[in-house]
Amino acid sequence: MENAIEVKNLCKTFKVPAKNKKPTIIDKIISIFYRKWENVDILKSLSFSVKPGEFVGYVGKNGAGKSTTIKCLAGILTPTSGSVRVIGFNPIKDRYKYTYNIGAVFGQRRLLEYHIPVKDSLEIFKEIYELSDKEFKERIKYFSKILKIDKLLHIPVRKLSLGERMRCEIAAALLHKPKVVFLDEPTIGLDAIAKEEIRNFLKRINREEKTTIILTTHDMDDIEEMCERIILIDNGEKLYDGSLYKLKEKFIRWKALEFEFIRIKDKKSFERLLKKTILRERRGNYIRLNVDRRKYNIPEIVSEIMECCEVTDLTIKEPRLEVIIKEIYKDSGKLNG
Amino acid sequence: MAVKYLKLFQTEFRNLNEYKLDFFSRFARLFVDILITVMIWSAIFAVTGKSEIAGLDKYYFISYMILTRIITMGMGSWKTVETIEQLIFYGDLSSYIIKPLNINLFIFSKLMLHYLFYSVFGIIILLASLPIINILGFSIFIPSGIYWILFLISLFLALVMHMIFYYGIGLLTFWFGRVWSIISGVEMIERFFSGYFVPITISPTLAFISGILPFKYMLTTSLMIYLEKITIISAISQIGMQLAWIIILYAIICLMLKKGLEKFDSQGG
Repeated sequence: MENAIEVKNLCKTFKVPAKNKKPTIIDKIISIFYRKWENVDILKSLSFSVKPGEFVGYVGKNGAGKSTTIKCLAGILTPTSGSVRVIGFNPIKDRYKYTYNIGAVFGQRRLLEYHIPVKDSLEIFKEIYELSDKEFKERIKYFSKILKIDKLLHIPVRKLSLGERMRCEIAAALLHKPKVVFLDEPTIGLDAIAKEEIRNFLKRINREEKTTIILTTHDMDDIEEMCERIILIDNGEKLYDGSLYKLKEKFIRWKALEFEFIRIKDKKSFERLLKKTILRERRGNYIRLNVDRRKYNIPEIVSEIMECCEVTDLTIKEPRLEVIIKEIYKDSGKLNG
Repeated sequence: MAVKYLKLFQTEFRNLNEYKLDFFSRFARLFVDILITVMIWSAIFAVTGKSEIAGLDKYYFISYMILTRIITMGMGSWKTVETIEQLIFYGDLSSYIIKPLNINLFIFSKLMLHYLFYSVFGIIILLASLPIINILGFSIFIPSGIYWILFLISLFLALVMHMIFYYGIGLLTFWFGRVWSIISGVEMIERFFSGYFVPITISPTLAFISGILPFKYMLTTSLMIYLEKITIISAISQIGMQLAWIIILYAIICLMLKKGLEKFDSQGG
C-alpha cells in the first residue's frame, strides 16, 4: 500500500538575528542600520513515512521542530531541501488541489471567524470546500451528535469557552472529510473533560473514516490514549520512530511495585527481596519498591512477594510516558546505539 | 468557485458591523475635513482674487476638493496594509494557506468591501446632502448620464488599483517584518501625485511626473471624468490606462506573493 505521507531528508532552515554576546555601543548603533543574520537548522534531514489510516503521535520538546514539520506537511512552509509528499501531492506545488484533502487544527490559532455564529463560519467552510447542501447537513448532524456542538451553532465564536471553541474548530477542520489531518496541540489549555471528549472524537474519526492523523502535543496522555505509533524528535532529528509499546519495552528500566500486607510470613526471604529492589516507601503495612527490570523478572519478584508476605493488594506501575521521554532526552545516545 | 469568495465578501460585510464606531468616526472626520478644505480654498480664491486655479474655477475646484475627500474615505491604505501585515507577521496566513483558496482573491474579498462600502456610501451621502450644501452657500457639480457611468467605472478601477498597490506594500512584510512605519511616507507620496492635496494640473512638472506614475489613475482620472473636464474618448482611454496599470500591479503582487510565501515563516505556533 502506498504511504499516505512520505518525508525524505526534510531540512528547514530559518534566518535569525545573529547572536552577539557582548555587543559594544558601536555594535548596537550599527545594528540599527545593519543587522547580521545567521541560519538555524530547525529540521535536519528528517525522514519518515506514515501509512493510510495511522494515528501517529509526533513528540518533541519546545523548539524540537514539531510544528515546523507539521507546517511543511500542510504546505505552509517551503522546505529548504528534501521532499514531502502527502497522499501523492507536493504540498507546495499542488497546494490548491491538495488542500481539499487535508484538515488542520492549530491549537493556538483560530480557524473560525471570530465575530459571527459558528454555523455561519461552518457555512463559509461549506463553500470553500464546495460541499453540497446534503453533505453539509449530514456532516453537521454527525458532529452535533458526537461533538455535541448543536447548542453552540448559533453562538458567535468569541463567546465560546476554550473547550467549546476547540470542539467547533475540530468540526470545521473535518467538515470536508479530509484524508489526512494535522493536529498541532489540539488539547492545549483544555480541562480533563474537554480533552476526553476530543480524544474520543478523534479516535472515532480515525477508526470510522480511516483518516490518517498526525498529532503533536506536549500532553503525553493524549499520545497514550490515541496513538499506537510515536515519532520522537529532538533538535530537528528523529530520535525514535515505532510503536508506543516497543518504546516502553525498550526504555522503561524501573517499574514500581506497591503492595499492602497483613503480615510477613518469611522474614529472611523478605530481606533478600528488599536487597534486590529499591525501597521507596514504607508506611505500616504498605510498601512501595522499584524494580530494575533489566536485572530481574517482574513476575518472579511478584511471586517472591506473595511467598514471603500475606498480601491483600498489589499494583504494578510503570513510569508515565513523559518521564520515559524525559529520560530519553537526557540520554539520547541510547536510542541511536 | 466564485461562490466561496462571494461568501467571504458577505462575511466581511457582517464583520463590518463590529466596526460601528470606526464607521461613524470616519464620517465625522469626513465632515470636518470637507469643511476645513472648503473654507481654506474659498479664502485662497478670495485673497488671491484668481478666477481659477489649476484650470478649475471656484465652483469646479470646490467640487473637486469635496469629491476627493469622499472618494478617498474608502481608500483604506492603513486598513489594507494592517490586514496584510497581520496575516503575514503574526502568521495568521497559515489558516488560509491550508484551505483551497486563491490567496489573492481571498484577500481582495476581505478588503474590497471596505473600499466599496465607504466610497459608495460617501457618494450616496453627498447626493443626499446636496440641499444642505446649497443652504450653506456652496454648490457641487453633478455630471450628466454618460459621465456618471464612466465615473463609476473609473472609480471602481481606481479603488481596485489603490487596493492592489497597498496590498503590495503590505506584502513587503515578508521581507521587512513590519511595514507599518512606512505607510505614512508612501501615502504622502501617493496622495501628492494622485491629486489629493491639489489638482496635479496646478504645475506642469507635477502633471508630467504624475503622468508617468500610477497614482493619478487612483484619483485624478475619476475626478476629471466626474467634472466632465475630459472628453468621452479621453475618459475611455484613461479607463484603459487604469486597466493596464491594474494588470501591471497585479502581476507584481503575484510575483511578490509567490516569492514571499517561500520566505514565510508562520510565526506564532
